[in-house]
Amino acid sequence: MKKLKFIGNPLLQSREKINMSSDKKWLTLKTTEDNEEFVVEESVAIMSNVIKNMVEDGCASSVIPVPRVKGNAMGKIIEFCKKHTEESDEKVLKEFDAEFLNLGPDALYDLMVSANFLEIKVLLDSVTTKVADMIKGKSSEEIRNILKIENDLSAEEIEESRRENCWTRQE
Amino acid sequence: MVFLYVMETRSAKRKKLLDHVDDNESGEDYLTDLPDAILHYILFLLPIKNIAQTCVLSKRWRHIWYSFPDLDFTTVRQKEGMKFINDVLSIREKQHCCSDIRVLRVGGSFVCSQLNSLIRRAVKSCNVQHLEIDVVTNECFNLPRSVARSDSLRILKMKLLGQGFRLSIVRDGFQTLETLSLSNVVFNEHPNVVMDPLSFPSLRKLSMEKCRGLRHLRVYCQTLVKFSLSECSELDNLEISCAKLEKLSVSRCFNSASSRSSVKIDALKLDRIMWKGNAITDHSSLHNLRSLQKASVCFESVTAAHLTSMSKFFIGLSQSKCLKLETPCFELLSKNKHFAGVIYEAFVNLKSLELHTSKIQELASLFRSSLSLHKLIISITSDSKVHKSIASTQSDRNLSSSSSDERYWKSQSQASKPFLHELKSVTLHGISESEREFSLVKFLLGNTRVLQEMVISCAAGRGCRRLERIESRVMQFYRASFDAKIVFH
Repeated sequence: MKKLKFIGNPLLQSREKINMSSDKKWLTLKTTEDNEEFVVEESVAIMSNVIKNMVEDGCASSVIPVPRVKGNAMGKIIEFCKKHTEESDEKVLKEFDAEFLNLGPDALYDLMVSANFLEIKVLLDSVTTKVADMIKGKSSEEIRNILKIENDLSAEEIEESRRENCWTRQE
Repeated sequence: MVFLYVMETRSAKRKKLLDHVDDNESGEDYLTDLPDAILHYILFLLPIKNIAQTCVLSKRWRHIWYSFPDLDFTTVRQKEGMKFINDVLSIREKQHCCSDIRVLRVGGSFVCSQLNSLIRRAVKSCNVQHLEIDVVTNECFNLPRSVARSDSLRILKMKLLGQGFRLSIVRDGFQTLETLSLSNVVFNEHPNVVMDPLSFPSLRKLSMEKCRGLRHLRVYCQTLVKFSLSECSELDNLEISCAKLEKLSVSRCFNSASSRSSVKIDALKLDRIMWKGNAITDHSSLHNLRSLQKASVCFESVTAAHLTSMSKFFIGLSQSKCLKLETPCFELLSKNKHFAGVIYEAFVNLKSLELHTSKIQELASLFRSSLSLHKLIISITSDSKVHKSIASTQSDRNLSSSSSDERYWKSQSQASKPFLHELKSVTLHGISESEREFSLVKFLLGNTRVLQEMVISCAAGRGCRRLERIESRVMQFYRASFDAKIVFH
């Protein structure tokens, strides 16, 4: 892991003081792609291993910039993390996840990329399970449609694969 | 300028560095942004045949399949199973960069020669790290020696039903092995087994089960942290000497017909020991168990002839803070006051004791001991000789004996004071409506000054009504501790 470099802006530290309620610590996450800011409780933000490490290393004093994650994805991620920090009942969480992940493939992929980047294992597990369920038992054509995969294999290559792996279903 | 620089996780072959110019070009699939590791992660959840089928989706997906790190073939059990496995491994070898396997799991039914070549291939050409075999073979299988020579194998789990398998322990072998789990091993030709630090220099977890013909076992691997031995009924001698061992479990072992059986344990860091259903050995020697926190002991059957050995066994455990004694240990101790006294005195750190007994009045000897427990759990087992009749006739029979029970306990109260005055928590399992048990509950409630909690749990399948009757009776008993809460299950 490369060492994290973070240079805090001293002017923004005063803003952090205004935001605080007495017993909770708050962090501001800023998506650098579209400059949206999200104020979250530290306990929610540290569900991301990346942010957790930054906080523990002492480099997260004011605004934490988050590249590669768009504002709407960040919003959804925070919603997910908040629910999982607040709720401990397995059943309730399962229902929440099912509802939460009722998204189209684009949104699911955004979530997967972001969850991987931010190292949020619980979210990554949920999304990958959902995607696996989506492709389980489907034919190759169906999977290509669901995941929008462009078929760049030639007919011969496909035939060769089928021969090498003689178990492939006939389509 | 404020910036954040983070390395992406776990991308083995295709490390994608932080690249802000990664917007999807129109028409490209979603997956370009995802590292191989995530696509593998999604596929882990599917049975291997489905995973293999993704290789026809596109070039990228073909690569994903060829580089798939964990191969679990346990869902492939039909006749073509072996061919499928071999085909998959061959394709990977052709691809050069993808032949290494992280996890290989194999199940089903195999001919020994097939299994032999598969294992050798996995170890030699695929550098497998984690190998799990759970199969049935046509005859006794000999684990190839090349497995021991592997410099990548960290986890090996072998379970062969039917004829079992033979394992030869090789000097300077298994250099990288950390976890070893063996089930149904045949040691008949080599009944004397030594797990030594030169043959297993990195071993941390060891589990041996159903070891046929194993008579003498000595384990002294210096890195071992967890050891579990079970169903070795021909075992005569067990010697364990491991400085880092923290958890030990031995169950259903030892040859009860032997007259020279022995156990020797020396484990400075041992935290927990579970000894369940073992025949008592003729000699016991447990040393240096200074870190022991929890011990759970249940001997298969103990006779008076083994008292010395049993006593030495317990004294070896005496540093423990928490002890669980299953039948018939407690009753044997109660009959032999001398041994009981020596043992109780040795347990200077004991704070929590759980025991099973059917003879309630014999608890008195425990209450007179020098133990200073905070927590006591008693499971009342039914005496097989006495048939537990229904409540009404029982109360008729016991009316005359209830007063004698009460008198008995009253006579014990003075001598039991030091013991009872430390008790903070008492749990009683298997309570029915016998007067004997009510007398005990009354005695305990009336003499435990610092009691915080008493839990009374009914004998199984007795129903709510009985619990209510018990509750209404017990709630009327005098309590020495005002803070005591009584909970009924």
